[in-house]
Amino acid sequence: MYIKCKAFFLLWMGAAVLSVVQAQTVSLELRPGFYLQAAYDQPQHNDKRVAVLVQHGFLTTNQFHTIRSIVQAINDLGLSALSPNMSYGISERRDSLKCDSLHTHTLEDNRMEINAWVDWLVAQGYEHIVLLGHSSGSQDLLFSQATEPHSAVALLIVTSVFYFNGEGVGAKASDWSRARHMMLTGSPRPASFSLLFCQDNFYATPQSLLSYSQLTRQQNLANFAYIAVPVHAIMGTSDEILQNVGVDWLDDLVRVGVEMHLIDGANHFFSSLHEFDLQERLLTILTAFNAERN
Amino acid sequence: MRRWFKPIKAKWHMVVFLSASLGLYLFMFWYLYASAQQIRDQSSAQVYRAAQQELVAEVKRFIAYSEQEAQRLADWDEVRQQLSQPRYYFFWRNERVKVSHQWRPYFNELEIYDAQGRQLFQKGPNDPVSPFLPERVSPHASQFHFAQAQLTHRVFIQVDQRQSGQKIGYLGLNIDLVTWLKTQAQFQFIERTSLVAKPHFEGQALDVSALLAQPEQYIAFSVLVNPVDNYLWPLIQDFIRYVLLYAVLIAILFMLFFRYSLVRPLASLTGYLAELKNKPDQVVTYQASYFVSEFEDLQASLSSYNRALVQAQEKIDAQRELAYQQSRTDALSGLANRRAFDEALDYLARRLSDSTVPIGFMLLDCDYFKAINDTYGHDVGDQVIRLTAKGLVETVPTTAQTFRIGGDEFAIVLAGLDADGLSDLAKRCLNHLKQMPFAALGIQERVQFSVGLSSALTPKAVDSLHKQADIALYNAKHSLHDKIQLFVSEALSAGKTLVSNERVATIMAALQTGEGIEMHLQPIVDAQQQTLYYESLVRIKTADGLIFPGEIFDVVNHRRLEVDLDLQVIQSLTQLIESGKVPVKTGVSLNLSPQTLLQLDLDKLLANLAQYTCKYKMVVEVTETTLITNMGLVSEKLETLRKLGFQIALDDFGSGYSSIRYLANMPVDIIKFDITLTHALNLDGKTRGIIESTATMIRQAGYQLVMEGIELPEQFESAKQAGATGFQGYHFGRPQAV
Repeated sequence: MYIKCKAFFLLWMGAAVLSVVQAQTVSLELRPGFYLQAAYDQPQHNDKRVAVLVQHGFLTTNQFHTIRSIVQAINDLGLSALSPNMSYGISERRDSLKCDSLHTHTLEDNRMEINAWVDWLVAQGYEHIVLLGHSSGSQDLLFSQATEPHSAVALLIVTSVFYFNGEGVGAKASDWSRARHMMLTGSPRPASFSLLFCQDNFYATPQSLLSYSQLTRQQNLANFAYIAVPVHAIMGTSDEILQNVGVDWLDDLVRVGVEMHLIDGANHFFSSLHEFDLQERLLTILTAFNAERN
Repeated sequence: MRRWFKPIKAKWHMVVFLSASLGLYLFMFWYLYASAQQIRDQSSAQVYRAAQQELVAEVKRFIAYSEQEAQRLADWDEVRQQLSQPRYYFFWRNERVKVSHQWRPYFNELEIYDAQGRQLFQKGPNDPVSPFLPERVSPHASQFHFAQAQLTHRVFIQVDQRQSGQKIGYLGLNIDLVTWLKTQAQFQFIERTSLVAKPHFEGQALDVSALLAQPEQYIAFSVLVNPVDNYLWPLIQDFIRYVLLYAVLIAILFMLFFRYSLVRPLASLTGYLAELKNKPDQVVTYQASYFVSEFEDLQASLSSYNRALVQAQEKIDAQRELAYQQSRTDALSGLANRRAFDEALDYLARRLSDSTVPIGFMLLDCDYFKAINDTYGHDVGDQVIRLTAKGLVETVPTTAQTFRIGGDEFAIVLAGLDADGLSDLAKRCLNHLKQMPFAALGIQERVQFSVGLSSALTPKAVDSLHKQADIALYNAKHSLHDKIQLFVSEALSAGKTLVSNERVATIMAALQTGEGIEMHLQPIVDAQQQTLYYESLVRIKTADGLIFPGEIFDVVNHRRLEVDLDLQVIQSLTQLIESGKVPVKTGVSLNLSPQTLLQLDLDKLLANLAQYTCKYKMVVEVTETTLITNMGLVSEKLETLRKLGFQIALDDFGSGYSSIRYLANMPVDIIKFDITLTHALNLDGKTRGIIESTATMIRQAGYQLVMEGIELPEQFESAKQAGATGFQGYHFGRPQAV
């Protein structure tokens, strides 16, 4: 482990010295007057054939440290990275959304935005798009590719991936029932629910909550099994959610064809030195992906 | 020196001192209190002005803050979310906003408006109208409103698309100014809890400029109690209260101190001194205790002085009594003296004013006492006085008072005795005195006494007792046999001896001015009836006639004017000689009193006459009494006169206590036999023989011998036979004016 890290560190340092990244914020008018925003980081000498779309986790932004670490690793490989901010219904959203903010976004909204950005990358001239998600961002990408697959997408990398609806991930079955009841009774007013880390304070419309309820453990496994592109999963063995859902989740993932990369001791966010482990794994995966493309 | 103030008592001094001190003290602290209050008022005014400025500054800061907050909220993603998806704006505004971390407790309301300025949530007719924000964006981006007892600030800010800058809506924010001031502002002069919007502007809008111009008009506030009010002022008040309390306590202590240390001791001492004054002859004991030892010492000193003073007073009284007794006692005789006599008469006069008891008065005199004194010496004379006193005391009743009022003059005063009783008493006295052993003293002559008696029944009469008795004594002394004379009555005696007041005035005037003095000359002749010289005899000429020597000498002797009379005589005689009225080859003699003879400047008095001694025979006549009075000095004076050319004649020889011994020693030239001797030549043979023998003896001693009172030829013959060398009397001529 130590030797690997050291070798990766030396490689990364050498690439970092050589590479110069052009960072910019790009907008995409999803509909009139409603703009999506993303960080677009291009190395000076990038491979124009491959771009990586990096999707952040639930309610965060592309400035989340895990995302920034991933983007840096991608850039260091000479690849462009586009890390959009999921709008969650907010034009040009800049800040993380709080649990008690009004949530009206749905899984479908997220998919639409992902597809829009994939289209945007394609429009930029990239031939192969790698989708790389962290946490629930992985589910958004998975859901997107499973339901509306894009032909330019060549690889899906998920990290700390789980599911929205199920035991041990924070959701409550009663909330699902309540939300459904609200929808059925015709009073879809916002209410506080539990979803992932938002415990009892996820202030959302029933539609919003219920959109995420479709991503159960089985559904995600089915989506993984369904999608046509290779899938790599990087998981930390010390992920708290993994502790809650059980390590058989990893087995399930492997069983549905996900190539598993475990980082021993890493938590859900690959904090601290485990960022380098994460970058090393990404380096390995993407290097292999590039090699295949060449 | 006149004092400009009136002394007051010590307790009033204390009251004045305490009042003045307390008044000054209170004035000083009143001044301090007023000054502190003035400083406090000025400080309060300054603080209020600072509070106004501070409020303006904080309101400005609030306005800027409100705009910053509005801008911050406009940049909030969720605001943009609502502008994009206003479907759930109602829930977001009501349920989300106020629990978000963007909300502030002093926010009243937040409202989002679309690009047309309409509220995102379209209210129905029954929906309540917000008092804080309108349904449409106000044209005033920043304005204050009074709503629900609050002074609120409405801020409207435009929300633009981040990417394109296109306006997508408005954000309205209403903030409670007062709540913000209370919680966010930093006040140095304003009491934040006192801030409150004034209620009478409810529902009114207020421009920012108007609020900034006079914020105190719309916001009520209290200034923070400054340190002077909060801390120093109560301290000052407490201090002044304590000082006043201490002043009162100190005044009480001073009052007690003054009272017990000074006032009461002084009052006690004053009372003690007053008691001493009221009881000057008593030892006054005073039991008092003092806090101040000096007062104890003073008290002790006063008591000591009091005792010493009383003791001294007692000694003085004893000495005074002794002196009184001594001053009223004659040391020689042991009898009361002249002073006691005068007092006794005064006392009798007063006592007689309310009494009818008669007062008897007896005046007793030793005849020829001076001759005894001079003959046998003063010791013998003193023994005579003692024996006389002893005899009188042994004779008179114990109720009588016996005095020695002169050299040989005794007075006896006896109440309740009439004239007969008085005469009996006088006889008993003289009889008893005859029994006294004067002979044992070596006195060969018989010691004889004269007595004058008087009595009085009225106080006024007491004043005359002495004079009346004196008159009576005078008569007794001039009587050979009736040695006891009673003053009979005023009228009877006045014609003989007393001189009327008018005549006394005339005599006195003559003695003072010489007016009326007239010298009459009576010749002294020899055996051939040739005038040897003339004796000058004084008269006073008045409109009613002449005043003769009897009356003149009564006045002169009683008033001791002998020298004055002699001076007038000398002056008149000098004029007589100068005027040539004295025949040549004769002379003139004049009588001089013992008093004049003893004058120190006798030679000067007689200087004018002395110049005629070579031309005239100038004779000075003196009496036996003169000779035996101060015999040594008289002898010296007579020698002086003889050296001036005067001859000395011894007048009235044989009328009194004549002593042959004088003749051997006296510086006299002429012996004049008294008329009684001259007349005695014609009595019996034995008497004639004695007189002739005496005359022979005088002649043999070398003296000239003049016999007076020759009125008849046979008397002239008898005198010639007796050997007289000079003769005087009516037979040769009466005294006549020249």
